[in-house]
Amino acid sequence: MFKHLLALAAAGLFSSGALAACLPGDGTGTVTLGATATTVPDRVRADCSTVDGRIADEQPWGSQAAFLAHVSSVTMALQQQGALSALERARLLAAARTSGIGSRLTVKLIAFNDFHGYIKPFEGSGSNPGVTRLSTRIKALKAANPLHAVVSAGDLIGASPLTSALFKDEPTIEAMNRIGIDFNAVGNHEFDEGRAELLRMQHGGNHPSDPYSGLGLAADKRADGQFAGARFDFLAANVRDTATGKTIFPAYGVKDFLGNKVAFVGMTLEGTPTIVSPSGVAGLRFADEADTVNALVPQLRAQGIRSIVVLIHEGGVAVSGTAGCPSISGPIVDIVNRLDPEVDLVVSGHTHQAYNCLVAKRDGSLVRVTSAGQYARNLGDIDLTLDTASKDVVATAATILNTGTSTAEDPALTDLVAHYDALSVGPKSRVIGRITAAISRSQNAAGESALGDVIADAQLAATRSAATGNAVVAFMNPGGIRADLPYNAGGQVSYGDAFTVQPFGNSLVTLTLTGAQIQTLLETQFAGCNGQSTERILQVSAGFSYRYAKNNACGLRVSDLAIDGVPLNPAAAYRVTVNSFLADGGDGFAVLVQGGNRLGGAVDTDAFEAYLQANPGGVAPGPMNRITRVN
Amino acid sequence: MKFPTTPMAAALLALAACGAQAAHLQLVDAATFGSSLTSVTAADGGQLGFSGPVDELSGLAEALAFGDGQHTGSLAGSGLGFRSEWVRLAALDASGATTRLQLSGSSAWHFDGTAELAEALEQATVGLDARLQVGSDGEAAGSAVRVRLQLGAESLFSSSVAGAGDTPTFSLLVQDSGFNTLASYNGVALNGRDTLDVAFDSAVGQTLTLSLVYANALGLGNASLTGVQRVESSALLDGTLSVSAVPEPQSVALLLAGLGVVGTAARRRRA
Repeated sequence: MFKHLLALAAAGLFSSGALAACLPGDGTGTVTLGATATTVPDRVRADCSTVDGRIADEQPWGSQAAFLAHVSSVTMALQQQGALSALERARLLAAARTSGIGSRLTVKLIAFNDFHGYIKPFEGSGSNPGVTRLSTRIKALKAANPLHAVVSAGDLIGASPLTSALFKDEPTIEAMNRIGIDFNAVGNHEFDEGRAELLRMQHGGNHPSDPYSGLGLAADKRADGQFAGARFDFLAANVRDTATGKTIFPAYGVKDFLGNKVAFVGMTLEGTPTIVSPSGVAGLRFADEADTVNALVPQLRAQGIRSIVVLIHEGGVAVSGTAGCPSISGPIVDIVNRLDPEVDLVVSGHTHQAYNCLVAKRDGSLVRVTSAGQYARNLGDIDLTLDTASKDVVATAATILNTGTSTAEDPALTDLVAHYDALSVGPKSRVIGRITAAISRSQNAAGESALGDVIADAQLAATRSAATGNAVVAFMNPGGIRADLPYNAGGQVSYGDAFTVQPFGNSLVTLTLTGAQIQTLLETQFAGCNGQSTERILQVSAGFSYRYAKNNACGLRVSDLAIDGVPLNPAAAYRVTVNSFLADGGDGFAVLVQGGNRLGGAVDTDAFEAYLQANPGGVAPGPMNRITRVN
Repeated sequence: MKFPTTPMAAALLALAACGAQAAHLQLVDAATFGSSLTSVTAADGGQLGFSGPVDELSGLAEALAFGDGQHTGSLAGSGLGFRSEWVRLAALDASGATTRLQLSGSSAWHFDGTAELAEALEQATVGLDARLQVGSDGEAAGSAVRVRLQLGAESLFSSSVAGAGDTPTFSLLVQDSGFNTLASYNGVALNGRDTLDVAFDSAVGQTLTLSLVYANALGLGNASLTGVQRVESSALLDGTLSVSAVPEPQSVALLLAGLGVVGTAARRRRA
């Protein structure tokens, strides 16, 4: 006892607290390793460490070998110090093996997709939590799980709201640098401004000409004051330079978790060139997604990698939302159905949906396929359980979290967002043209709006020439028109006004449809027809006209389709312009997916600005006389 | 003496870079082995015997052999109670940049009663044979590397009765594919401590064979036992194999030239 008191006094001397934190000796309990109890007393050492504490069985161990070797070393040292007998050492080692500690390792994957530069809370929609809230969520998951990776499945940038878009999406890269993400698979929108600009996002340096580049806070910039570039890796397994045959970014990244390597293969959809303007993808070749993954599997295996996660910017349509996955359809299903059985998880995107599904691979075995909505609203909270002997994933579990608009904002990012928000005040007021009166998105009885007419006209104007698409008609989804265009002094339209009307940054796509397919497209506007969930009357460009009888049955409502008064020939081909969202079958207009000979075009707001510029006298509200409702 | 600090720091940095971690060892395959055999024989001929296996628990990047046992019995005739508890471990962890290796064991005997003991003997072995390839971390195949083996070995033995002893023996052998010995260790003394720090040349792509064995014979002979008596033994060999790049001749020449310049400058400054 006297010895213990001395030790206690010594411990007190060396600790800053007024009271010693421990009573050296045999302790009160016995050592338990994981769930395996032993009869060995949990002795307290003079330095207040305990036998159980020094074995550190609670911390993650990369293998059973690593844990057992650690217990062996620690117990030998304790035996040398007289704190354990050989008998107790043997019992602790036997228990260490029985506990199974080290044989499994759980890694947390924190995944999102289609962030699209939504750094500022509530920009574009009251549902957008902003990067500050996303960061709070991510940091909490990181703190609770020391073994983690933060991954993005594409469209991190591009089609961004003003606060990021104006500054060439540098704010988004800087925000992600601050959060500390690991990988971003390229999506189609990463190519919106072309390869050189995308490479700049990775490697840094200011934009060669745009004055809004390199305006970040000093803490986020390079030592020379220029944009720093991403401190995470862009991945592009299926995007090759046609000249060199090399991928423009690494095909995969590897993260090592205590000797257990997990490969993250990143890619965009093969069809990226069909939804990006040709200049954005010039000199690049986009390969089949499943073939690309499958060809990499042997390479990864040769490096001793058995845990393979695919980050893919292609998705599906699931009916469940965040809750689960009663069913999923769409391109991702066809891709996963062809995947090598070695693939352990698919983090998908592109469809802006939230789902958590199991889909069959090539051999029929199931793999988890997740997607976390859009604009930072959701976050995939995914557990990968690895067998540390085989180094392979043996189980996955996922929850799609809501970021939440009332989640606390991370103070580590608020200054970044506030900085760019303040800088954007001026540019928002830049005058891009004139209108003669306020232009409303309110629809008349036929579903046509003045603003819808103008936007469709602007899209047709941007794609009418032979070089830009040879379009004869444009269709605009009403849901993509987010606000009225207000009448300011002198009819001046600000860039901020135009951006608020069309905040999605969709690009234009011109494709070929037959007259019959255009008829199907218009029939699909009505709820219950061709899978349409709700009535969506497309806005049409000048010269196009038709009638519909709402009371008729599906397939019999639309009639008298004409362009400049000439009836459409069901068998003839027409060049049709829609935005990239519709071109992918968005809003239920599946027939548009069948459109061939696709040509990407300008971003919608750029087309709108060009249309205003081409009409210096001012653009008048649309006539709302192109669609006629019979009943 | 005042050194021109900046060039000296640069030279030292260059020197440090030459020894930087490069390449790594990758486990190609491994086999493990081991067992423990214990026998207790009294002068009157009463006998007990136990044996236990060592299990192979190897994985893709780690070789692991582990065995443990708890045996109890009493001798016919004298009624001497005997309990033996043992554990043996051989591990090779090639999952990281540095390869870790370990051999270890503990054995504890507990006698309770009065008897004339002729002999108690535990003969235990645990070990593994592994092939390791010098894997590339970006270096070309055939690039020269230096492999450093560092280890510590220790043994602890105690007995409450005279006439007991142990013969812990660690054997480590590293050979190239032509069976030329690159490094070896044989030891350790009872209740002793030992260290080894050696290095050998290899190259990216080469395959090394590593043999690790821990064998011992724990014995007690011709003892008059009474009451509770204990014999205990533990041993541990803990080591690492690390790979570093060997600088190309031209970079060595550059380094030497650089150091020469630094030296000249220093001399001039003193003059």
